[in-house]
Amino acid sequence: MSDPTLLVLASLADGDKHGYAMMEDIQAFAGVRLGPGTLYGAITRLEERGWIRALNSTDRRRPYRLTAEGRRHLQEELAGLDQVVKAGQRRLKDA
Amino acid sequence: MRKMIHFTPRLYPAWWRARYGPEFEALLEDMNAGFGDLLDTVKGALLMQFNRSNVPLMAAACGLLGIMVAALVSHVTPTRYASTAIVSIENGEPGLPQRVAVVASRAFGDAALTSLIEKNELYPSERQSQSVGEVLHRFREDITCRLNLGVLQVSFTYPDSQKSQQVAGELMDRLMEENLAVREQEAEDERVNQQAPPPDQTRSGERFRVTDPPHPVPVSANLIEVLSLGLGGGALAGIAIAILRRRVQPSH
Repeated sequence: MSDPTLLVLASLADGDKHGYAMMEDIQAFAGVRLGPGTLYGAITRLEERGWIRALNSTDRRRPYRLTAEGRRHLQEELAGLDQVVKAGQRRLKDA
Repeated sequence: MRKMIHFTPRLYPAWWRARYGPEFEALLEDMNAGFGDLLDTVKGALLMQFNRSNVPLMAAACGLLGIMVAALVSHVTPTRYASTAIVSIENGEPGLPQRVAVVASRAFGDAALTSLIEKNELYPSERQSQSVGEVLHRFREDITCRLNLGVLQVSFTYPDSQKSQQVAGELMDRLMEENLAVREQEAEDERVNQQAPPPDQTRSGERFRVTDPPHPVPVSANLIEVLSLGLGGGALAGIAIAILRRRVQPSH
């Protein structure tokens, strides 16, 4: 899985994070290192779609939170991926 | 690298910088950014500009990308070495340039150059993938023969310094031999036509004297020219993309 928007949503699923924390978290759980341009491109698109929102912060490092709509979208995407994974594993087993 | 990457937020559209600029700069400060991150940030800026095209910024961003690509190309291009043999020509006659041109065309004929290529094992990869004519054309492009104020320079440029030196010397030898052969032929013709005595008694002619044997000197493309080309090409591409974007989506 290398879709940056999905990786950002998955990273925010267990709590609020700012950009650098997301980058580290994604590298830890997915083994994918998102570059700064790719990460903020994804954050921009996700915020425009209303799937994440920025939280108030006194620091420049602004944290983001998954919205209810973003959580629903993530669940749908993961369910779709899960279906693909299961089908693939079943076919490998049968072959 | 750090200075360059901290410049990149300026390549993003103003609306984006107003919204995300401070936190994006904080991220760049927190991370240990490398060359890949620099490219990623420029790519991100280009995509953001492409979505809401801004001609000057798009030109600047593409120009910067062009400079980076040019620098990379310049860095990975192998070093070439030029070896130049210098010969001074004494007792030169008025028609010397034409004479040198005739001698050079005979000395650097297809058969002679093919023999040099095989003997020195030049252009091994080109010989596998290209025709003999193409390899010879390439060889001739790497040879420079220049006559100026009685000084003849023969240069050969090649990635291998030793071969560059060796072949430059052999090219000069070929030129000297051919000059001698042409002189002897001309004198013989003259003697036959005019019933004159043998050539060495009537005609001194020019004499070639090697003043500087070839030494390999590394040559590389002019970095400023290469980077300027990258900047210009990138900026033009950026302007074209921005204009195209406006035509496709005039509302933006």
